[in-house]
Amino acid sequence: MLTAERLTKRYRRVTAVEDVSFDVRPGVVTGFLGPNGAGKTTMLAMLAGLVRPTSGRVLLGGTPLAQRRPEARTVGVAIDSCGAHPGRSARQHLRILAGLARLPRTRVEEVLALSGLADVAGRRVGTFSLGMRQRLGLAAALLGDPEVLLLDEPTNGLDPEGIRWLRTLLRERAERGRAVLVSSHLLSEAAQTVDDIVVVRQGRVVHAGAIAALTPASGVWVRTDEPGRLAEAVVPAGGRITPDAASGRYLIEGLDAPAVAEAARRAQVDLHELTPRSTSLEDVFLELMGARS
Amino acid sequence: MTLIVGEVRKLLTIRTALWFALASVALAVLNGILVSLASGTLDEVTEKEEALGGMPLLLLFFGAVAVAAEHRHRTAAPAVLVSGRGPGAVAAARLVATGAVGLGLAVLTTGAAFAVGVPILAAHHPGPDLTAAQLIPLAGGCVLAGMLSVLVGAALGGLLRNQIAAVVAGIVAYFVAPSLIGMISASAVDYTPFGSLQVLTRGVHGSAHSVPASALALAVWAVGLAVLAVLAERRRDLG
Repeated sequence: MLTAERLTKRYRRVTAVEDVSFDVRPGVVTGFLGPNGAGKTTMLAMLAGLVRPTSGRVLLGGTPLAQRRPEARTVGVAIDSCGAHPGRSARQHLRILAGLARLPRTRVEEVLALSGLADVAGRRVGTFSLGMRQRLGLAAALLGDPEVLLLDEPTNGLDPEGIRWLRTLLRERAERGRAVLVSSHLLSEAAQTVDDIVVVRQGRVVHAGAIAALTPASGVWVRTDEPGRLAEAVVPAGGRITPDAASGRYLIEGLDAPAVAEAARRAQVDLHELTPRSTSLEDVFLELMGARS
Repeated sequence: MTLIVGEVRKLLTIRTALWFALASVALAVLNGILVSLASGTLDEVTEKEEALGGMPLLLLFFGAVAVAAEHRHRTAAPAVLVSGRGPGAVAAARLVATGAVGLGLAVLTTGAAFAVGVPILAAHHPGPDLTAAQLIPLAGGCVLAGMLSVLVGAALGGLLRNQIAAVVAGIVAYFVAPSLIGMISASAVDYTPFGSLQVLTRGVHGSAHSVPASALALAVWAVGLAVLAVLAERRRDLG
């Protein structure tokens, strides 16, 4: 749906984004992760067509953005550079945008209701809390019911109910075949919402792919008094056993927990602990950041 | 047209236009009263015309503040995103819309100044009263000066994307630049925005330029700056 093709953005001597390529697929929520200053916002602005890449290009449905400008029905954007005048009411702000996009006014009321702002639609944006402004930004992005949604840190300022609402909204859009790209530094939140993940560091992509491939179950922790006999039981079955001096446990890789338990039972080795080791997204993220620093 | 209507709606849904309208009308009325009552005897037509005309400085500031506010409040990008038009087209629509609202403000300001000033001049000063044939071109010149000043300010706001910088640039363009240019060539001052405004609002008499020539000179400045602002917007990022 939306493709970044070798995108690079330089500001004088500073390279904000360098040679970045990835796809935002329809029917999928793609997470865009990276530490502060990694170039996420610049990247999103380029994908939206607000910032021109120094080199590379963005394709929307296979057509370069230069030939097919995004509009409300194709790309919905909620990033920092999209604001609302503090002197206007939420309804006025959305009505103006709807008018510019040639959308009916009824759509404004729909997105106000959808974003939970119907009761405060007449209030000035300047009186809104951060969470309400986030909801307004999301409402504006959803005005045209776009094919692609680009959101920059959308959970900032949202309360737990708001975060759950957003998560449901993003999942529903993906189920309807829409593409969603959402940047976040809340890794635990991203882990619950996204299907694909793009990790950036210092303007470069360090990982792009399915989140499931990034956080597989990766071994089993065991505690036993007979490590030698356990090794004799698991190695022929394809396992590798490594002691962990710090915890006094052993890590068995290459086998899942039931297979380790079965091998131990057959060899009549007593196990005092059997815990699958799952790698959290945070662990992988930090590993990706650290491995390349 | 959709873009222009949208940009006009933007201007009319914030208080900037209202405050500038009120301030501009108040200043014009005050100027008319003070000049008419406190300038001694105004017994010549040119003096009376001068009393009614005024520098549309607040209108220049309105254009600068209104357009630069789009960048201050980050409302320029959403307009580009939802409309599917380029930043240049949206910027051009914004300048036209600001000019249109500026025309309304100029009519309001000039109308208020004339409504208060003309009766005072007729009642308190000797000599011939201003006739319709004299008032209409004067009013036209003041309205045109006001609207083009709004456009000059709007273009500066679009170019600089900063309200304070745009207002300062407007002051420099209107008041500092003519003085510097005047040191090089006195006649060249007539071609500056300030020189043209002076002729249009009858702030100066005996200029080598006619009213139409001055109107054209100011229009060239305003449109030229506006075109520059649009071209610059096409080349710049909005992120």
